[in-house]
Amino acid sequence: MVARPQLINAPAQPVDPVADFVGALKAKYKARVTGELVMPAQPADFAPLPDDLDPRLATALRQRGIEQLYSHQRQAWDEIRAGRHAVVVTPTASGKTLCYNLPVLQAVMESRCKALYLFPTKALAQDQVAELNELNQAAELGVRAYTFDGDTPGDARKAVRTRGDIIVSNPDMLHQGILPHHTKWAQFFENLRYVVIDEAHVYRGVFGSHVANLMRRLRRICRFYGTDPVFVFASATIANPGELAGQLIEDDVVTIDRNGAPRGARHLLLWNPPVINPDLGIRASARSQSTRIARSATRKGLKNIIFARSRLMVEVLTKYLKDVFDHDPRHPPRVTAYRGGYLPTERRSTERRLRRGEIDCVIATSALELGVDIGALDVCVLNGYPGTIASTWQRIGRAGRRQRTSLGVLVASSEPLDQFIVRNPDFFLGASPEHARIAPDQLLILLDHVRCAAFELAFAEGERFGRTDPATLLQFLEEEGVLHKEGDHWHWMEDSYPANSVSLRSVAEGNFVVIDTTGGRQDIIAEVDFSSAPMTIYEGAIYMVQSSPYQVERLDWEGRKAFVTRTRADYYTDAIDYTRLKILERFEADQRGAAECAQGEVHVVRRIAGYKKIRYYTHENIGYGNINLPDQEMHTTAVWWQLAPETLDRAFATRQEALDGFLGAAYAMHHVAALRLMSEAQDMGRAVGDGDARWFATVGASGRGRIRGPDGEERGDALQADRFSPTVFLYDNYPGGIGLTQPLFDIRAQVVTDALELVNACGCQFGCPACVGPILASDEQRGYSPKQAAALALKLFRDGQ
Amino acid sequence: MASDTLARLRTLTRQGGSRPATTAAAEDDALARLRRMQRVRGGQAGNPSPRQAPVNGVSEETLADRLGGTVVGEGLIRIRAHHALPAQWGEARLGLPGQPIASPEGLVFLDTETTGLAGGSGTLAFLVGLVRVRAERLELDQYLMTRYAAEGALLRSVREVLGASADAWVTYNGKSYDLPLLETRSRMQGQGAWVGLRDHLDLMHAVRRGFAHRWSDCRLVTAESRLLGVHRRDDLPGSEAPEAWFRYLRHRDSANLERVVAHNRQDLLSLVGLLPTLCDVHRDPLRYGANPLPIARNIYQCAGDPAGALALLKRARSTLEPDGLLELARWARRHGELSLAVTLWEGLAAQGDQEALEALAKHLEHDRRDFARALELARRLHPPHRHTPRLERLKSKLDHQRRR
Repeated sequence: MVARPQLINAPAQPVDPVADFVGALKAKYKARVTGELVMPAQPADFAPLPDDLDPRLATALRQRGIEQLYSHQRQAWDEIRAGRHAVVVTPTASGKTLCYNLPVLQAVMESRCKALYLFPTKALAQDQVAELNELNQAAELGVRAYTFDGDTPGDARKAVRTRGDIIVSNPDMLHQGILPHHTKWAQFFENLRYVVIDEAHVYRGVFGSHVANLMRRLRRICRFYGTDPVFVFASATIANPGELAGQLIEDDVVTIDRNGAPRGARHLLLWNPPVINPDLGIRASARSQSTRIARSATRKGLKNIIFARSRLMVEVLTKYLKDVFDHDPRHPPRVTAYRGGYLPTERRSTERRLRRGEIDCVIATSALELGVDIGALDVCVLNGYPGTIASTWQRIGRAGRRQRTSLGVLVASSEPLDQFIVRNPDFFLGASPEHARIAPDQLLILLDHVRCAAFELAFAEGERFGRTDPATLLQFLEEEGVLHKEGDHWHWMEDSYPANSVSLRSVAEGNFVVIDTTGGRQDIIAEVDFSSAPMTIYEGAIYMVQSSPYQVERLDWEGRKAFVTRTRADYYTDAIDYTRLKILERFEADQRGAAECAQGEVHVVRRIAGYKKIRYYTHENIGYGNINLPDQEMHTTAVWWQLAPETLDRAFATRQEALDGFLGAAYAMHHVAALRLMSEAQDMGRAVGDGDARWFATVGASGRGRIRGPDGEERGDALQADRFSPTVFLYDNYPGGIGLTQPLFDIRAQVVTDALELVNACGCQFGCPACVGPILASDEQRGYSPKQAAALALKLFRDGQ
Repeated sequence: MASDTLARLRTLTRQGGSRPATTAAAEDDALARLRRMQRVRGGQAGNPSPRQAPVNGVSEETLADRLGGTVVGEGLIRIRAHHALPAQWGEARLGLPGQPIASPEGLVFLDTETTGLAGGSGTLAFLVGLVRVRAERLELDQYLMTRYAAEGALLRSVREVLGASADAWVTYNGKSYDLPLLETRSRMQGQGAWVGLRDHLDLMHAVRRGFAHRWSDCRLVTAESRLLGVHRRDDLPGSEAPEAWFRYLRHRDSANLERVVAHNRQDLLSLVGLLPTLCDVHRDPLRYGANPLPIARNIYQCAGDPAGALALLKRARSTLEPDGLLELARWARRHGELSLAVTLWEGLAAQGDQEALEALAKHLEHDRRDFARALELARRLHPPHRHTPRLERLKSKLDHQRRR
């Protein structure tokens, strides 16, 4: 967005409705607000337009009311013009895009060079082209900017390739559509001067590791055409933007992070739902609190957004708020949902209505966290801690564009991380955002891209791939018959197109479409990505779109289709999954008395076994269903903890108690490890089993640990075996491992100590979702406390006796 | 491979920035680990035992001998053969609508065999076959590379043999396949853009015009069998060409590669045979059972010859479907044969054809001022509400006419 500096002179509003709202909330719910942060408004820091700026560009800027630049925009101009790679890290609505658009447009006008812009989504790319075209038309700059993505029609592609000065695309398209066809883009590559990578913070973890390799391929192709473009990144706030950008291109990158844009005052409240059952440590749900805050904000005329952590929760919250505000069908809806999986047209229409201010309350997943322009909002409610500090700030930044005061409320759920944060406000308010980590040399990812690169250009002996030496992998590919070594070159020798079998985003293998067949119709109403399909569109599932329930009648797994019909069910469904692991290889182990912690390779099999039906509002469990889906297998790395069987039998009164202790310990350790590693909890998986995939443990409907065999059948006999050796596993949730287990193994002692502290310091009596996981009321009768059992297991892990 | 590879893998994994190296992985045999992970991933397992040592391999020289060719450069074999011009050649007036042929000596028949159909910069043409007309004979040249390193020389040889007289490509689907591929390869070899000729006669397009809905498919083998009576024996399907070439590179086993060369030669000869036949098909589609309408449209638009197109459809009138009759009526009206157009519309309108009804109603209203009949026809148009203005207008015109 191009910022509009003239707004800073707007008179301060005599009444500040958001500040009033904050006051009212604090007065009424004093006990629930556990922490508060107020960031004062910040004035603008300007710098003059550069002297060498093309007069036509200066005119275009003036027409948009821009007479001078913010200081960071000027700094970006100077660095980029000097040919240095740069990363711009400033908040939403600070005029970030102008930082790269100005130098790029100037260069295109001076020398007709080319630029490539990459955005993580097609929607953002389209926004950007609209923005460029607006500038372009304002002063007839004669610069041609086009999107090039999966939606570009076949007959337009050639024109885009040959006529475009600025090509706006996404990494997936670069990977599958551009690099493998680089000769068609010869002219473009021969003149490529700038590569702009916006929303760079998204490129972390698996996705980032793929993108780093994609950059290796891009720069390799550029070298072939004799060019060496300057890279410009823009990123939301993370701890290490410069380092991340540097790793993505394996080069030095200048960090520009002194924001010169003005900002309105900002309030942040940490909110803990009230305790409703002190014995069990049960608090009111985050959901009830989020809807309450959104209801009062909406009634006060404040535009607000709720971020939920799952698509399911988006639908549930939308239903509850629509029940309040949208029960009269004659009025246009005031409440709307926005999440991945809705069709692009529907999302675009919601974005437009948001920008026009036609929506009072939007409930979204992280899909809205990125820079999609949705206009000004006043209040942002986070239904549960988003998992990272960086993500929390990005979402809260959605409220308070331009000069208005804004409010963010972080509503804690009962999960350990959430509770840790609201109970230790200083930790959160003072913490630096996370480091974005990538592991571009992860063997499988590297192999995928060496394969793609070898297709694009033959590798020469001694040639490097980025910083790595690909010789081993080339040899492997040669053995596989994919490459052929002749002289000192490895040539592609397969009738295939390798980029099509590599997905940058995950191991996704094709999206599922959801087809509404009500009354003989055949309408596609949504898309579901491969990884979430098993948990959301199994037969019998209630699948919701804009809070209207559909029942899945049939799932065509091979054809990637789910057939649904409209239903009036008063419940929703939640899938239950089991994980079992087999240790394949032990790399390293640390023995401490009777306790052993080790790391190595494991084979993980995940099965979605069934689902629960949960009634609206009461949230009672009203039934179960079975799910028949293929198991999902993966080969990854893990860290595990075990106790010598004799010690275990001595320490615990019963093996059942030990099992409950291990399950509770695993729960606490998983959450603590995620926090310590500054990764997201879902990047890691946890399991309790015997390590040989003979049995694994789950928490059954009774709230107690149950032992099951490989096919999910009850295996109570395992408790009677000679040697009983349950194992706590924390595994890397990506095939091959993305590099989490080595740092996890390094802090193994810390994880156990922290988890023990979390359990001991929890105010509950027998255990609760904030420490060892949910337990049932009847647990008081089980004769021992699951909380004590978990503490005992953790103490044994720590001391070895 | 173990220790050496391991050492390299260790360096490899440690070089990538601040992440601690997965020292653990290094304990394992890296390649074995890769293989295991590949298996679990259920993926891209390779070809079986690609590294077998060549057994009694066929050398380049032997291969050249067997194919009747010569080694003209390292890894490059040229097979040159001469054939008589096909029988139809002499009597045929060569040329397709809008694509006249200046001189048969300027034609370059081209067909390639490639390492895959997937496209992209990793696919190359390992065999390029060309036919030129020289001194009343066909001169057939096939360039076969037996090493990747020979690609640059192959492309250069093809450029050279084309010479200055080359004027138009003749291919089968070459517009979207062979020529873009050669363009890519030329750039990959640092030879810049590929040779551009003045014209390109893609015979697949010509076959599609005539036979798209009349034959089960429009592949070259179908066209040659239907139009030339050519029936191949022991032909290696084109889809097996990549593997045949890979097999020679890996094992020096040339059995299937020799069949690829024969297949390519037949493709070229069929291409030569098809050209005069297809020219004839465009002059007289009915004789070949071809669909006259697309051909007439081609004559109208590409050759800019409305009279020729009109004449063709008139000749074909008894075989035309309603869409053909409507097109004929449109052209007839446009080119001053209104009475023919009216006759055609009357015939179609009698069967309820909407477009004919509408055209006829317009004609009766504006040319004949026969509002009563025009109204009667307009009432048969569907859906009625879309034609309300016309009906209202006709009614008022009719009233007005009657009142006078």
